[in-house]
Amino acid sequence: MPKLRYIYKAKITFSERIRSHSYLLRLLPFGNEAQRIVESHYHIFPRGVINKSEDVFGNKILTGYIDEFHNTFEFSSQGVLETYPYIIHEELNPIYRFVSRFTKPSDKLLQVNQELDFTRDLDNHEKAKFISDKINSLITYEGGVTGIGTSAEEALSLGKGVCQDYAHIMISLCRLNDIPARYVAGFIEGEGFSHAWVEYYEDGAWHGYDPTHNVKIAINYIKIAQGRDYGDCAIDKGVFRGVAFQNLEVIVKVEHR
Amino acid sequence: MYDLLVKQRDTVNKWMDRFGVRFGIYKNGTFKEQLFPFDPIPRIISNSDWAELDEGLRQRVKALNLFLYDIYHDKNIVKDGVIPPEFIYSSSGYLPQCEGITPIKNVYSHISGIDLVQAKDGTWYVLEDNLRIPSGASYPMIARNITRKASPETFQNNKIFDNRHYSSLLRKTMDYVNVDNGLEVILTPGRYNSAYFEHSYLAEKAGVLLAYADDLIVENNMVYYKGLFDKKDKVGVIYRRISDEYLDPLVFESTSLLGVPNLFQAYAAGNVAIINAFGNGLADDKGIYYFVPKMVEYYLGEKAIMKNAPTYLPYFEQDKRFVLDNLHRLVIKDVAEAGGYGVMFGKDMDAAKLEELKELIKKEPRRWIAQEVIDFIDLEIIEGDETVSRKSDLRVFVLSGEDTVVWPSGLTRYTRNPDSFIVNSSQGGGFKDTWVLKK
Repeated sequence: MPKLRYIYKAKITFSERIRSHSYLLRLLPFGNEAQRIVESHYHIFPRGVINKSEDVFGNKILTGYIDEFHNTFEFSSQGVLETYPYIIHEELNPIYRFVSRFTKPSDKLLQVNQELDFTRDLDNHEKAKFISDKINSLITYEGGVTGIGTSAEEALSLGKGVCQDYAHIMISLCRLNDIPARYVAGFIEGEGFSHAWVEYYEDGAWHGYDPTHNVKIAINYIKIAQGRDYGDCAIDKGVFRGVAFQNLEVIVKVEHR
Repeated sequence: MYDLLVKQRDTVNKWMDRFGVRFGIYKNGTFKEQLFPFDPIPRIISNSDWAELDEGLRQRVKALNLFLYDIYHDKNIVKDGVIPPEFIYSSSGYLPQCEGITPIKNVYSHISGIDLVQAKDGTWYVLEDNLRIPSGASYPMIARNITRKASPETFQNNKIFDNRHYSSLLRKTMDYVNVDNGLEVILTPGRYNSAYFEHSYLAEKAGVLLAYADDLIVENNMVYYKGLFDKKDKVGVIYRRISDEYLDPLVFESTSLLGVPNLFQAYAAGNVAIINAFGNGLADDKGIYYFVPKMVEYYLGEKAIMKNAPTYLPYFEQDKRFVLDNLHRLVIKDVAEAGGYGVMFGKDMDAAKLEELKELIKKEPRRWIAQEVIDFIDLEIIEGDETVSRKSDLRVFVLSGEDTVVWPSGLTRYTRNPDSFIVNSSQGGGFKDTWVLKK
């Protein structure tokens, strides 16, 4: 089976010194039947006292509090994974059948849903493809138009967006058609940023679909976080005391070993 | 019974003003704090009525606590088909983050505010269960304090249950769940909150700290009160007056400045008690309300003592047809709204408006409930030199700790507008003291 080496490195630079900094990070990859962890490390600086736990969606989370003054905050995660076909057998949690904050449909999504014409008896694999094709006929990839707070409905109305928006729209349409679906944040091969895609449920297992590239996921996607939508999957969240602008630099690199 | 007290009403009002018994209202984007109008004529509840309410409300709150535990663990009530899963998972009050977490001593709703009305035939009906942050207990407390001083004879002549010990009931509730004898705090969003008077008054009377979000930090999954000179004291229980979605910006609404980052992790680790627990909003949901009498039977194997107002759920096909046919005489509530917003009376709507609402109900049946309009009794209030009748309700407070107790009083709210049925303080209503007779 293929082995992938991944590196995620982030650095936040603050324009002024800050303190009382609390953070919640989702940096560590899942270990499951589609990806086996060979090795995994993380680094946080300054670190404060770190607590490692798991949230209700199964994500590993690192939380901490930094009391001292600091100008920069760095966090990174790296390791090696062995990857297998993207099928994850799991009991279905019903929350993935219902609307969530970023995927709540309104007029535009409901109208597009009406246009989806599942004439034949399709299974969820075929429906997922159908939905992704439809999305790709309606929106084009463009960065900087939408933000982390953009909903599926808003992105669809704009006709533009990034991977997060593609995923939200697909999740919304899946759930409207009784296909359980969830949001995934992670890394793909190459160099760049983190990525987002969709998992839909069929036959007792989760399957991956990447609506941004309009393909069913076969292998080699590294999952870091999953949830109802982006709101459950943010890689880094933080709150600090002080008046400062912040600049975030991120590097993600995934290569075969 | 209360003539002497009514004569003293100017004195009473002067003292209310001096103590700052206020209620803040946001109107058109600006914050205005105004005196919470007080009417000196008390609501009087007979001892026999109270005995039934006391038993019925304890039963209801016990069932609601069991329901919250069940939903965030095994969900037997869903598996057994008593409540359809949609009503859980699509409720904005349901927080999946709470799955599998058991609050300290398994108490979810430490302080429950149950809103009641009394129909003209004497029957009491529950209109709403408030299991998030029911406010209002401080108002009858301070009113009693002041009225007793203004007219001591009134209280010598009448045998009424005292209600000024609410703060000790609250303190006992906090003590019961306090983790490792930590500090006890009331967490307030600050003075621009509508109930800021209450936060400060309860903190003072219960002898606990009034804390602002800035005062609390979470380190190593423990909550600390950060005092002067960076001294850190461990906090064991937080009576928070900030709603779930603003309470931890790293788990919920990330733009919230009112919350404490990583508080949820400390709670999940069992290192701090939160009053009321995270995730209680589910039990407040107006759709879930319909199922409360069924919960009583399901969890306690008893028939529910407290009655719901007759309620229809358009989610069920049969109810939907009934609601659409009878809309003109029903009251319709949007389940997502609170504080008296999103409440519509069919009788006040013209044909076009009714049609519009019918379409909305057909489009999103789960979003609405419909109820029969209860002809509830009016209470007398003093307006100028006259006595007039107004609609009113009663919020009774039930505290759950080692025991479940009902505070023998309550917040009686009345509408000042003679044509209105909506008594919420946020809609400009006034309040009365509530007397429970000892005999």
